[in-house]
Amino acid sequence: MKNYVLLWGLGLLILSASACKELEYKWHYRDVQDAVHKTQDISTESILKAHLKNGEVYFFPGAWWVDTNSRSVQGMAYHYDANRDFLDSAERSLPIASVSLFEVNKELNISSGHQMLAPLTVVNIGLSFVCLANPKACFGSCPTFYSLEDQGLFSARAEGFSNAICPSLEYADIDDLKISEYSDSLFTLVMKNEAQETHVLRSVQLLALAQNEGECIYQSRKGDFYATKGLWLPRNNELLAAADGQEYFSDADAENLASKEELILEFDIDASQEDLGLVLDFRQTLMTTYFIYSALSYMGDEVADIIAKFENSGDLYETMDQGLKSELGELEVYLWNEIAQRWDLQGSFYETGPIAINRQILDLAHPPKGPLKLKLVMNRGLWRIDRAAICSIQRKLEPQALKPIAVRKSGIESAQAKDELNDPQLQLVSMPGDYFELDFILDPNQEYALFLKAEGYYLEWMRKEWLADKDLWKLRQMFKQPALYLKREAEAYKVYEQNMEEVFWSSQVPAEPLTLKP
Amino acid sequence: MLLIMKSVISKLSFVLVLVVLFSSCSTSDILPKSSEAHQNLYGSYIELDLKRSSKVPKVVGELISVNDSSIFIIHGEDGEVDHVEVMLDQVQGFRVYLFEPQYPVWSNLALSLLPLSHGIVGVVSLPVNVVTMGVVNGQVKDRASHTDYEIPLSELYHFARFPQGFPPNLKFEELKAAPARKKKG
Repeated sequence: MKNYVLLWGLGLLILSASACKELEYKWHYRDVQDAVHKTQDISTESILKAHLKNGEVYFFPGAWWVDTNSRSVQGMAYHYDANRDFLDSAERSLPIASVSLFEVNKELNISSGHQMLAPLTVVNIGLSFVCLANPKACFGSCPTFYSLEDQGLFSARAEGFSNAICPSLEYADIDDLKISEYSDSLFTLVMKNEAQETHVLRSVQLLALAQNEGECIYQSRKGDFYATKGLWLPRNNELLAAADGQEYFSDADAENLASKEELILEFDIDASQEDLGLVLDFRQTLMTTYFIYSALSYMGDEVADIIAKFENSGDLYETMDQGLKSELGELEVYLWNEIAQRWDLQGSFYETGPIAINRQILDLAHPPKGPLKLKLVMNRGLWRIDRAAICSIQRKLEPQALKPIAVRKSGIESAQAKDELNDPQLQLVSMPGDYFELDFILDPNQEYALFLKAEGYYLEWMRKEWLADKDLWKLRQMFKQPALYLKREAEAYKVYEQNMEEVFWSSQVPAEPLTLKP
Repeated sequence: MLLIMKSVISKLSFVLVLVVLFSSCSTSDILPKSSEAHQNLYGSYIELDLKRSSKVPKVVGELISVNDSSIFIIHGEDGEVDHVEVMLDQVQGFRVYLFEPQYPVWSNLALSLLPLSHGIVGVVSLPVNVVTMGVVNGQVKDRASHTDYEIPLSELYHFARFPQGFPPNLKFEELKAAPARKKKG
């Protein structure tokens, strides 16, 4: 990000410098000899204006010269009065003595604002073409949740049910809101539809877990909650030692999108600690988004028929798992077994979505006392990891599920929206641009860790541009021969990755307005 | 999944378009284009900011002449002509325009609207465009004018209709205002 801002700032500086003010284009002289000699260096033909004491002016637009014998200025001149009304024009011999002030002018040659903005305009037009050619890269999706204080696009605390792209895939998604030690009586959650899609929400609940001093609460992938103590950070990887938005990620393999990579993490753990868990802050890159949009575009104008067929033909989750996901895999965690001298699989993390960072805990098998070594095995270019930490699991917790006591749509209280969210038989439909505020009541005498449980599904809107990409053969390959598809699609994806991901992710930092300061 | 922020980008773009359209209005209808500035026989257009003790906060118009104690300005608008003499000690600041700033209206419009087609990338391209347009438009205005930060009051005479000083045989009130070069936008 720093590089982008620095480059941009440098560009602006160059722009400013190239637009330096042309100050000198007119000179005044009492003595006509000065007018002749001091303006000799003017490259273009100079223009002379002879101002008389009575306010009249003689304008010599072309060649003019001084006749020292007759003490006059000679040349073709236009004569104007003090109101600048035209009087006459002729070849003149204007006595120098009658002139009060000589003014020499040169033509200004100034680059236009269009010229200065041309490079930026070209870049913008190029970007428009890229987005028009590949809308999947630019126009995205997902139900998103914020707290009231959150500002900026990338401060979303949770993405709801990212996998549920059709009704049969509806599920309840739990996300850590990363709000701990909350002790107010009212919590307001903001829910937005900022995408070109229809969100169908069965329910939105706040999961509140009473928190003791010195404890942290994390959720597991299965939706269990654990109170933990202590936090040990990797000694061999500074990047993953803080939840600061500085994430580890790698580029996808240019030959095969299913290539795997490993990351070894070492922790110095207090030998007295027993039940340990790995807390991982992670999210996906845009790779999954690319595949979802690719699949929709391969369906072209048959998208509704194909999805309906999928829905009626059995377990769609199973179909999807047998497709690309079987090749891309999950974010697997291995623990080094010093005695057996091997890596033991502990489990894996998986959550779809590139916006909100997920924070989850994975219970580790009891390791031998002393240093702990973990190996993360993941698909190259698919994951971004912000922090990895080890904590000591104290006990399992049951959350308190809270329903919203009030729902406001675009600032106006909506009893209907509240009923639709709280009655399991009803659904709230949210359209692009909808903005909801959900109020939840908490015990002000208790500190809580807060999580979100959102249940529903969403329907991605088909884009006109996608229709042109219809390719049922590729769609079939995606589901039936995912390994082959991931090899053949690598080249196209690398173009997308380089052009779009870099720009997209470089924009995640400034929730505040962009500044020239690095 | 990706966010598009289309509504936010749309609103900002709309505001920008309005700003661009307003800023495209000319500074003054008496100013020449930059390519014709050297042929201008009238005074430059000046905006004088006056001190609080003055009756009016601002005086604008064609700079007629400057002497040791006063600045003479003619302000003409809709057929009405005001001849204004401002005492030098009442001047707080000024900006004198040598030619009409040619704001890149079409580029500004394009750069305000193109981020709409950038989807999520518009979150980056729109603010980059806004700041860059601000810098360029500032440059365009800055190059077309001088302020009291750049030149002293004593040098203002260079930009007057009568740089030699006010003609002794003329009555200021009888001078005609500079004609409008074009319809004011």
